[in-house]
Amino acid sequence: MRLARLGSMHQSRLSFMRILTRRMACENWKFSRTAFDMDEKGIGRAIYRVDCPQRTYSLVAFSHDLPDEMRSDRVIAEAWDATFALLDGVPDETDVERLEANVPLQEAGRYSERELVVSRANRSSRLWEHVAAALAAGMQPDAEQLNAVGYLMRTTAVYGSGKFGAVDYACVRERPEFAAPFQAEMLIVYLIRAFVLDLVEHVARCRGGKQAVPLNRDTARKLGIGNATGLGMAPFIVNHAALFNNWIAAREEAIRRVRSVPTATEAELALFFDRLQRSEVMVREWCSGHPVQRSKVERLQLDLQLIKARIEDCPIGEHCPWDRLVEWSEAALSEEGQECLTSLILEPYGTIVDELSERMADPDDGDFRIDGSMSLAETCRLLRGHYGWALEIDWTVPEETARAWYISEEKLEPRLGERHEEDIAEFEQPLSPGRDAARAYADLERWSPGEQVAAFLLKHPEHRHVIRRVQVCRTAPYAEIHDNTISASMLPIDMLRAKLSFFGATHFDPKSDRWVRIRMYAGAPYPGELDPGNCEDWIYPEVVA
Amino acid sequence: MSRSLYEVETIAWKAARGAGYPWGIAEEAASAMRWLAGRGIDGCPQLASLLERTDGSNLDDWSPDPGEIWSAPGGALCPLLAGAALSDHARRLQQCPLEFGRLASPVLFLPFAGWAAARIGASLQVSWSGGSSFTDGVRLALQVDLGQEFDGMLVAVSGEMPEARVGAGRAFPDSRAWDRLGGFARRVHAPASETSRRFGAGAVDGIDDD
Repeated sequence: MRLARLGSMHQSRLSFMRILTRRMACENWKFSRTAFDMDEKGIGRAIYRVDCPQRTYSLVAFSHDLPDEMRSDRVIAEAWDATFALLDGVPDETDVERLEANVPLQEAGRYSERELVVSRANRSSRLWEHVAAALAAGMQPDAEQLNAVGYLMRTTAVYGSGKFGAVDYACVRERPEFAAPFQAEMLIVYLIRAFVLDLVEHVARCRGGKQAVPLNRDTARKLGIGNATGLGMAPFIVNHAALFNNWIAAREEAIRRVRSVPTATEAELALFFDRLQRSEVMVREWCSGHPVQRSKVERLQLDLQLIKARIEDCPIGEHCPWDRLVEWSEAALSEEGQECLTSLILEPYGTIVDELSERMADPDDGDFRIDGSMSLAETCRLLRGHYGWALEIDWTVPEETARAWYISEEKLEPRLGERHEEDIAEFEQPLSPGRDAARAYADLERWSPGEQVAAFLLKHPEHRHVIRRVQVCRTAPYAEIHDNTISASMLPIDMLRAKLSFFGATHFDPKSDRWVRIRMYAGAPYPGELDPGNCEDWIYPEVVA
Repeated sequence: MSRSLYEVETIAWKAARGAGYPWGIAEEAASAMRWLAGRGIDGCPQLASLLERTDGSNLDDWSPDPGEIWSAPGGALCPLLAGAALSDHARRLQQCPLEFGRLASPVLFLPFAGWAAARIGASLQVSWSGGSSFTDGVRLALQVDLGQEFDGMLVAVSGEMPEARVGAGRAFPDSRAWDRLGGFARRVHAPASETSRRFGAGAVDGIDDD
């Protein structure tokens, strides 16, 4: 599992957004807007209610008057256009007052066990005004401008799992709707998207009166919610090694199952071909100003053509067709193309793939107890197996340790510094498993292989964190990124891309080597429109004749 | 104030590291505090006291020397270092009890006894002068408040598992202890500088123009 490959991953049937829309449609979740108290500028509060089979949740939204100069995607921002909480149950007036005093403050607020997720969003200044003005004037907004941005608001943080006092994931994980990872976070974003559409139409109505028109439904559906993701997310996949392993393992198992399918039916082939063609549309609309991503997208366009040509040249109905196609892709396509293809082949096989979503959470919540009775011979064998790449790196070369991950005092934002140029080494976070494994190995080699981990750690507590990771790898083979996470050439956006692809994000648009903008739910049916017939393929745009 | 277990875990992780413990021991401190909080025990006052005592000292002085009685060269054992040693050496308990010498902040030792119990699939009794506690890894029976320091502790396999404490989904840490831990936790944060503010997170001017 190399960074370049992680940085080429695509959404699939196992993405968390798609797991949620599938469940919402199949269980016929009910949505209603129970409050919408906004003034003519769109400032006020709204409540959206969601009824799933056993429980009710509510989005409580606050819309603010934010001066343009305060609009920032950075975590260090202190005010936003809109702020949100996802509440367990239905809020009464006391709850709303409590939330009103805290949610607009985001990280500076306090939350209770009633709150599942807290989030905020900013308007796209490019698009919001254009859409509001057009609708107010009785016109539809310009399609080109809509496509270029893709969303009216973008979230800049989505906080769940016990942050700032909100409920711990462990307290709700037994609920079927939250069994897969990040489902509450995906739910709040889905509801925010509905709120944003309501809000822009409200503002247009207030401005234009009778002249105003609603946004065309097909146009509205293309709009997603944007998201700006920075370095804060990158350490996640290192810090949650067992969880990340489960995501990759589920995806790998899905690919293995589909590659084992002996023959593909006409219907399965047709569905694959449909998604392939619609992927072409998605990739054509995927604009990025980042030179690395731009060339990857250009190559992906070519790769999709190569896949089509391959299928036309060698009809693939029989003899493990998907296995042969994937094998061919390993030499014929870029990593971006290979990863796109492996996601695409899962599409016709919901019956054998979708159940794997139940294995993607980490039942131990990251807690892993070291087995002190493991021999050092076995420990070294595991370490060589999972960190052999790190043992080959010369860690005395400055470029190999050029970076250091640290947390800034300022709003506790994770940052990446230049170790050899700034005084940050003493604040370094344990986010370089490769270097640390190499250090541990150097000491392990001085011990007798017959000794046990318990004795080694008593003398070397400084290696405890890495010995834990080594042992995690015994049952979690995808727990570790096999790349140097502190080298001068490392691209943090690769780590962001991996996680965001599992969310189900599209249109990755890196803005530097360390932060990226994406779209979420672009194409998704809105609450009330979702049904079992459209809950799967919404992520693939329709081919326009 | 009510806190999530995640918050308890996080402050313990940072505070232990801030006080100079290796990352792996800081991870143990985090898990231990969460384990206690999940059983309705506020470990914050004892963790804060421990970190104040060990801060700036040589941790080897607080680490157990294996022997008939596992004790610390410096006088008192650190419950995180001794606890980690206990859970790492859990299988020895299948042969004989393990005895530990003078121990600081003893409540922090109990989660490790729990993990040792889970490792060998048995209940363990942790005894000290004037009291004892039982755990099978999931459940914890503890009826008394533990003091700041014990003269010694004996950990032994037990057939008993008395009525356990009720589980808790929220923590109610002592606010003064929380603030003391916060002081240690802040040490892991790098002071903000204009360079790090502008470039550390990858920002450049004009990023929010659309």
